[in-house]
Amino acid sequence: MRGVQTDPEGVELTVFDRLFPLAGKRLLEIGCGDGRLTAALAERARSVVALDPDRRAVGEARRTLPRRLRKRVRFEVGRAESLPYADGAFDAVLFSWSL
Amino acid sequence: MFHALTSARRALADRGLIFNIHPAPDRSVIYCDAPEGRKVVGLLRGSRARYRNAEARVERALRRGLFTLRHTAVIPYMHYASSLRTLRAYVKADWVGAWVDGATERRIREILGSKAVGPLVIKEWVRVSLLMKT
Repeated sequence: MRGVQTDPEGVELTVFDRLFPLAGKRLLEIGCGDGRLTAALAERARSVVALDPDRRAVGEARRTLPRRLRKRVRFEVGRAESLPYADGAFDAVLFSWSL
Repeated sequence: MFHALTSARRALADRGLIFNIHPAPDRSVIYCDAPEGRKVVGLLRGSRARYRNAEARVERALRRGLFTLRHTAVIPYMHYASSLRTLRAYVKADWVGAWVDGATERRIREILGSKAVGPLVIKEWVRVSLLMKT
């Protein structure tokens, strides 16, 4: 939103880097919203599936993802309660303000 | 949403990690950046029940032995708005069931003037938890 800055200090990513090592990992991001964190996560992980129930927000996230990261990220519309993925498909799952 | 945790557990490899970040039940504080320094002007109003419920879901998953807790902490998380009008619109659009009360708005106007244009800050407390699949 214009006139609003959320976490300009980067606390969230600092905590990820300290506690949640993503290098080489297949990550499922649950609650990606408009992709606020997705690009930063894709910089760190081997691959990212970014999921959100809000189709409009997912469209925005897809549109704003830097081109160089597109091969590493797959966006999907869906809900966390019924994940359609194979058992053991991910090394890490992020619940981003979504539990 | 407890099913979200069990569903995510299935999708995780052995010893896979879940990182959960969500608002803590503690109330968010609103500050105004006045020339003489940052001043508390009020608390963000609204129910925090959904955040208590999120904490309860994680605790339930731990009690059931679905995960082990590797780390947990409550950290401050900041939101900045350029005016009272912007702050009000942001809270209405992005925060479920929250609002800025009249007394807080009056304090903001006392500091920033009737147009209430100037830096406003919400300090929110968020819980971060790192869980490992058992």
